[in-house]
Amino acid sequence: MAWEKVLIADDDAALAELMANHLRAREFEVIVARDGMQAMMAIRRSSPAVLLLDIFMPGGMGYDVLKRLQATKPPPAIRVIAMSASTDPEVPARAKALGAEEFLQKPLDLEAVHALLCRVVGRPYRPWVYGG
Amino acid sequence: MTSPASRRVLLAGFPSDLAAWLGGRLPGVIVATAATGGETLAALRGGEWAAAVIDQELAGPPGLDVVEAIRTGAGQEALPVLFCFNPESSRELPESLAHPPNATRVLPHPLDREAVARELVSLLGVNLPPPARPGTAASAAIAKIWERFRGVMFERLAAVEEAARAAAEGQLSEGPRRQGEREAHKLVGALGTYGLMEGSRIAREIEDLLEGSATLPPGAAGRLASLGVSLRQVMEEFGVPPPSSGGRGVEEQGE
Repeated sequence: MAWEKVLIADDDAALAELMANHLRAREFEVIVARDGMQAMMAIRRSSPAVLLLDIFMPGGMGYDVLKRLQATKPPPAIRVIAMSASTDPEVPARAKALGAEEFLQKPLDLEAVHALLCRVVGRPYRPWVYGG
Repeated sequence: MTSPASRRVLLAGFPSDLAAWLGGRLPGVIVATAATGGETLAALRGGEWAAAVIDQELAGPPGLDVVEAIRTGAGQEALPVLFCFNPESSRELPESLAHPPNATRVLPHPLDREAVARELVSLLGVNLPPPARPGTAASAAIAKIWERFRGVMFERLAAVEEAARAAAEGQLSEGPRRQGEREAHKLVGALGTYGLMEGSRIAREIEDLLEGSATLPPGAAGRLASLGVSLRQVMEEFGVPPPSSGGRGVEEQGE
C-alpha cells in the first residue's frame, strides 16, 4: 500500500523533525518545508495529500500559503490542517475562512495528529502501542 | 513483537505522551491508545486486554457510556477499568462508578501519572520500578531528537533570558523584546510537543509578559527573571529517557 504523502510546513526544525519522525513511523511519507515559499514549491513538485501548515512562518505566513492555494487554478487536491501556538481565537477562524479544514493548537499531541491525519486521508486509525 | 507475557492496556482519551510514559514505566505491559469512544469499543472488541483506562471527557461516545457499553457487552464484562473524572464537573460520579459492575477504580483529575501507574500495578499485579527523575522524555526516540536540537532550544532560552536580564536592568528595548517574545513563542509549541508541558506553560507566560511593548507593567521584570530561571531548570533536567523504557517504542522504527 502506498503511504499517503504529508507536507509539514513549519520554520521550527526541532518541531518539524519530531512530527516527521512520529508520522514516518506510522507509515506516512513526510516532506518538510521551512517557510511558505518552500511549501508552495513542494506542493507543486510533490502533490502531497495533506499539508500541516504552521500559521506564523517567515518567508510567507501560513495565511499567504492558504491564499495562494485558493488562487491556484485548477486548485491543488490538498487538504490543509493549520497549526499555531497562538491562543488568539482569530487565528483558527481566519485559517478556516481561507480554506484550512482543521486547526491544531500547539503544543501538539503527536498521536492526536496521527489520528486526525488518518481521518483526513480516510485511513483507519489503529491505536498505537508503547512499551512491552 | 509482543511477548506472550505482556499485558495489554488500552488508554482511551489521553495524550499519547502518557501512553508512551506508561509503556516505559510498567515492565511487561504494552499500552495502546484510542482517541474516541468509538475507537475504544472497536479496539476492545478486536483483541484481548488486561485493563482499560478511560477518561470521562472522551469524545463520542463519552467515557461513562463506554464503561456502560463494556459492562453490558459480551466478552469484556469483567475487564478492569480505571476511570478518570473531573471532580469539578461530576461530584456524584465517583460514588456511582466506584461499585461494580461499573469502574473498577476511579482517579480524579488533575492526573498524577505515577498515580495512574500505581493503580495499573494494582489492577495487573506487576512490579513497579522506582520512578525516573521528573522531566524525562517519554521515549528514547524523543530523547534522541531532543539531543539533536538541544543547542537550538537553549539558544532560544538564551534570547528569552537576555530579554529578562534587560528588563531587570530597566533597559529592555524593542529588538530584544521582540526577539524574546518570538523565541518564547517557539518554545511554547516545541517544548510541549516533546512532552515538556511545564516548560511550555512557563514559556507561554514569558511570551505573554513580553507581548506588545518594551514598557512592562510593574512587577513584570521580576516575574520574567524568575520564569527564566524556572525554564532553564526544567529544560536542563529534560532529555534523559526513563531507565525502564528499554527502547521498545514503535516510533523508533521511523528513525
